[in-house]
Amino acid sequence: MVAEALGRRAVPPGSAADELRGAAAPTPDLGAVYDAHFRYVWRCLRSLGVRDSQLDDALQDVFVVVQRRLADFDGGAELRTWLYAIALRIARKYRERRLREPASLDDAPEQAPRTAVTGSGERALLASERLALAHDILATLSDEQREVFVLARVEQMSAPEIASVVGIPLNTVYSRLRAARLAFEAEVARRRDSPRNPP
Amino acid sequence: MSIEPEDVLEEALRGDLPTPATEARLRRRLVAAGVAVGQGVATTTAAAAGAGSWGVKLAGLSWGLKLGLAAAVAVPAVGLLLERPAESPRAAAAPVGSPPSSAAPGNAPPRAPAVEVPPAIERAAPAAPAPERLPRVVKAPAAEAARAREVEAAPSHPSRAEFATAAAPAPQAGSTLAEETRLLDGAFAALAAGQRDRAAALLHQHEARFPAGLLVQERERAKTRLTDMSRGE
Repeated sequence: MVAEALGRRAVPPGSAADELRGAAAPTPDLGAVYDAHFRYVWRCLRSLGVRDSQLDDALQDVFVVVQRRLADFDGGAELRTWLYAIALRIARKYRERRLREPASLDDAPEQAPRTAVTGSGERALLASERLALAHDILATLSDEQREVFVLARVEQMSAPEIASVVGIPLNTVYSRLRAARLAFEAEVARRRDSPRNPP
Repeated sequence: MSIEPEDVLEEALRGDLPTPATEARLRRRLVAAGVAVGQGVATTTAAAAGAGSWGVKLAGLSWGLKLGLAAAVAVPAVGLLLERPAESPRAAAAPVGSPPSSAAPGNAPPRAPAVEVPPAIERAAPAAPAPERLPRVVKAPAAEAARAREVEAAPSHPSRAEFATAAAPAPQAGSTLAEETRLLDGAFAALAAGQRDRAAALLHQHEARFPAGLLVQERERAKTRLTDMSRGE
């Protein structure tokens, strides 16, 4: 059962997934799924370490899989959980590929501040720097910790949802998340205490 | 840059969403690759959201730009009221209805998807079609052209960038403050994009032209950031 495999959760009334699923709509429309979720899938891929230069490819891969599998989605699991399970595995694939393949010139812009922040002026600069710093700190976590941290703290998923998405026991989610938060805080503290960042 | 508390950094990660231009590019790409995401509402929704958050955007502008905007908007408006009361103000707002930025060029060519379905997903959907039944569109110029036509024919919802372009008047010639603002906003934008040379050039230009200008403090802040950025490498 898909529901058993991915876990069930009480969906708040009026949520996007609830609207998409509906009582008499067994198969959500791909366009509606995309509209409701693709921005968060994009953010999730980015937070999970997919390079900016490969982000478009990764997002495309996610929705190719979604298109293929959507007809089999029985509505028992929350759509968002199902989507993130796909995105997580696509992100892993890209991370593994990144380790296998030598760095190319395409990766050079990665060193520049990465930003999706629009606007100009000092406010945008601060937001951009803050985001780049957050991504840098995320990159110091292990892949396992990073996945749980991103799903919990960025995507605001519950522990049972994370257990379903990652495919690990609930207790492991809690212990991994605790370790990830400690590591994240430690890295923030380390950078704060660095001589280049006087208090 | 000072190190932010953890929750601020997490908030920054949560706010990291694609821009309307990125959304439009991704949608075109997926449509071209045979993924039936449809024409969608995301771009127009984003544009509407952008217009809705215009007040927030305005609040984030530097005080110099705010002053320039207020002056440039207020003066012609007062002039219209005083001199040409019968003329409809809609005529002045006509440029806002320019085509949306979703037709921006630079779309990467679509590629054939090569996706390994993970075990958990296999469990979730055991009866999925074989990979060879996937849409294998390497290039779909017809679809791309159709999409372009749809975009052109779509109701006009200007993106934030276009809204800004249409609504924000060009700095008045001879306006010192406007010119100072232009230079410094350009410098800050260059810093945000990591273009140190451009930022340095703009700051140098500002310093040469306005050694004791109104925005000296802002210039010094930008210079400090530039120095920090250079030291960071």
